[in-house]
Amino acid sequence: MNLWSDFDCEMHPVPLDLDTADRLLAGTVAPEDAPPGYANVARLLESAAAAPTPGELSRETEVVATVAAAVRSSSSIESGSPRRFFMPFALSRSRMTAAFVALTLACSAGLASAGSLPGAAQDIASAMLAKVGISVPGPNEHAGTHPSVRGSSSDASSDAVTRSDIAELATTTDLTGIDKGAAISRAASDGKSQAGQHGSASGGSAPVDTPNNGGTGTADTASGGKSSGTSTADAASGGASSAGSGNASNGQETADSASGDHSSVGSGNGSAGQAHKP
Amino acid sequence: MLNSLERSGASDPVDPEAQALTASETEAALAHIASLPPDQAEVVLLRVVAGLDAEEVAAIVGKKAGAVRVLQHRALKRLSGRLARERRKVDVTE
Repeated sequence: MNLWSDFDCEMHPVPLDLDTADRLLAGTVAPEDAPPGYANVARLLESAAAAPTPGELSRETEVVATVAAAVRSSSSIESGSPRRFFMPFALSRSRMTAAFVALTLACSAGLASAGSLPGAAQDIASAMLAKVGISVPGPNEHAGTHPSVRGSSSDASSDAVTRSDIAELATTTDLTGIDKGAAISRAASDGKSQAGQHGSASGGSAPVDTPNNGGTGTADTASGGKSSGTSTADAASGGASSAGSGNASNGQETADSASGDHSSVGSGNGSAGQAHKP
Repeated sequence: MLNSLERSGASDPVDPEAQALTASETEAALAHIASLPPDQAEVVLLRVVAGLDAEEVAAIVGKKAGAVRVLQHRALKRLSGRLARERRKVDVTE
């Protein structure tokens, strides 16, 4: 008789802790020593773990083999089972951040060393990596003899022609037409514009005289032989062209209508030649 | 069952009658354990009948040792409650 047995089943069971439960199942707690309310449980466990009867012992070998096989299969299943995923180390937030920064820096350094970053970023990356002893090309390292097309606002304020200058030039110049436009364009682009230097009507002569009879011959002549005549006009116009030898009597109107509607070959060039004829 | 459990401490293992009584008590105890929820019954049987410890049982049933301890703790609480109810029934009938 002890303290616990005095209270056995006479009082409400006390909360059972895990260690006591473990010792009860291990058989190290006698029923008399069990906590209140658990003496009968201890006896029940004793009975369950009682010594085997002779009949049970006769089947001991068979039972042991069966249990051993069950334990082995359970252990092998457990060892190969992906129930638990053990990480080699815990990835904390700081470690994740550090890994991300390192990866970003590595990628940026790689791009910077290849000179593949945009100009401003390449400039900054070059300066920053130079501080840690890494030499990467600057933004203009691969430019060769090409001038830098990037400018700054200070360049614009000092060198660029102002809007008022352009307006004054446009209102005071004696030039007219293409020459006036070319002069304004050159002034606005600081001499870079080549407007008026190509395709000047004054520099060339129309390949055909106007007025002409139009038609296939005129289109061929106006295009410098590039027009293949009626078939090309038909093909270009999707069959809508009425130009050709059959409509030669219609003359210039037919060629113009054909070129104005669909055809851009032959007769189109002819009309352009007429338009630029001074 | 409860009376037999209470008598089991005085049974003589050499006496055939006592052996028969013990066998019936064992069967009754196993029946009680088998009436538990399957996972709890499995843990208790492996602990008591097979004589394994919590870690070995955990390896067999595929749980952590802590989970096994929780299961066996719940099983003992449930057994205690059932035995207490049975005792109250016996007391009322007597």
